[in-house]
Amino acid sequence: MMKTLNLVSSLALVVALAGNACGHEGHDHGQPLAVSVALDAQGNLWRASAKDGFVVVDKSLAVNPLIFASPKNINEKAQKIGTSGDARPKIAIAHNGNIYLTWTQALPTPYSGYIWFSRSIDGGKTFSPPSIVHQDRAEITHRFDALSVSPSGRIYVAWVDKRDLIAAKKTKQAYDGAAIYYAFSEDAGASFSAERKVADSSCECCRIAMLANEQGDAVMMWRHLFVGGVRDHAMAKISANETNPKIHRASFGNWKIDACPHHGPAIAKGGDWGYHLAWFDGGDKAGLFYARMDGEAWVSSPAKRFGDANSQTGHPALISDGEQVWLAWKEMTDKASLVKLVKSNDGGRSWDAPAVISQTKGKSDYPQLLLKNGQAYLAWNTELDGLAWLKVAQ
Amino acid sequence: MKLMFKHYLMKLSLVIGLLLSQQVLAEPLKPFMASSRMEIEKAHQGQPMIMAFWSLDCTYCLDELSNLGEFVKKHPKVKLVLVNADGLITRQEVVKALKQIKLPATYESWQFSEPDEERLRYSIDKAWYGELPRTYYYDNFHQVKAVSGSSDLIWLKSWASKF
Repeated sequence: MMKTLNLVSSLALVVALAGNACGHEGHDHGQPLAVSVALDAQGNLWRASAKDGFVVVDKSLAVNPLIFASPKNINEKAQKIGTSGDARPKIAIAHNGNIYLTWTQALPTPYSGYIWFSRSIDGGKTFSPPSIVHQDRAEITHRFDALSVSPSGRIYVAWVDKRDLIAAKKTKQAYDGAAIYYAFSEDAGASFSAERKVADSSCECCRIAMLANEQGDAVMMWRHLFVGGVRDHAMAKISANETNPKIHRASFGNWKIDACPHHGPAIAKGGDWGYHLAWFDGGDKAGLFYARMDGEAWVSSPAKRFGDANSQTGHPALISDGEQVWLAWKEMTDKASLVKLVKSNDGGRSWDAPAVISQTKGKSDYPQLLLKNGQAYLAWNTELDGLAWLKVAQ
Repeated sequence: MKLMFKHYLMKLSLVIGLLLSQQVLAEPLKPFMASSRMEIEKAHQGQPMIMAFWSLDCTYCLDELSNLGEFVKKHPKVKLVLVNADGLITRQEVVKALKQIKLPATYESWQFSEPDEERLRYSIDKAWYGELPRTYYYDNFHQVKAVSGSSDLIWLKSWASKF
């Protein structure tokens, strides 16, 4: 009888454990493909990815491209790290060689998360114990981290935040969407400022594009909820000295929708006049668009369409060097996923014909463009062919 | 001994309970593959149907499913097919989320089960870019209307007035 009882107890335990195992974030679809890459001054390629609940950083030497070595786990305990849709761990390298990382930890409450930061001040030999960037520790949305470091070394971290939505709900006030918040560091990431709000009523689930500039400011672009539920894009310049940034409308597609597009924009510096913008717009005209934004007058040029219809055109990457601009995006055919590229030699006024620069038959990440000695490179993580890394058209 | 037997029965019922709860969790979600859309369309040929794609990560989705659930309760001729686009790793969270909303007594629930979810989406509808909720309204003749985002309730009423 005792034996039977023990057997029953063990069986119960096994079943209970099996239940727990299912409840845990599993990895039955392989490791996430969502990675970020950055180049250091020596041309070495650094990569941030997520594996088994850890943010992992590894690097490939300039002389040995794509041979990644010395992977390091950054967080001490396993976390559920945001890698789906527009979420991914971020990496940025400062002029002095410091390496900065951010990522979003998903918390048990739906849509909630914390933004974490870690740094290396010894060229990637060691990384600091991670810390949470924001002072607000409520288990609410702090997600879709964006990271950028200015040439002078000021670090900006921005994210999508729902504290204002929750406060509005408590007092039964109407509030659309989420908000964009940011914090900055003046001491190379040893500490961060208290967080500040950029804008109310952002889209809830799209990445923020952010670029810190020579003046130590940062320009950001995000999908915004304009009056009437229209999800177009907004831009703002944020700085350490100003607390009330002006919001400028950057796109005019008038996509009116109560939905999560999971599809954020891209920006690049446009000479001394402003910025190059690329974004996905949905609805009847669904597709990828490009415009120039004047950084003084904050007026954007008419949107130019790129990519084929019905090919899932989207997820743009932009990079510029003087008057040269490269725009890459992802498309899909019945047989493969593609990265297409167009180049402009006149600051985005005219463009060459698009060309397929990489393709893969399996699952793939979104494309990223980097600049190395004035040449543009594509980084594209794929399941079957690994990380594609190639010099693109000159 | 009698006490022990009672104890045994309690343990046994615990095990059965646990097994059943696993069963209940496992049962409602069918694997949605590249061929599933056609399979579902065939199974409900000649019947009005709403095929609703949703995600745990979409803040509008559960309200939309709730509204569709209420709507189908009033229009029982319309079949409701829910497809979660998060992938198998979220199975338990999906079941839990569905339990928290009011759905009609009968509906089908599927979950994305292909390794390449982008390609699966492409195979379902090339004009769908991943925005959620995404809902397909099939009339009796399976003329389909695709809607991204929350559905307009006035339009929904006029659509249903045909059945």
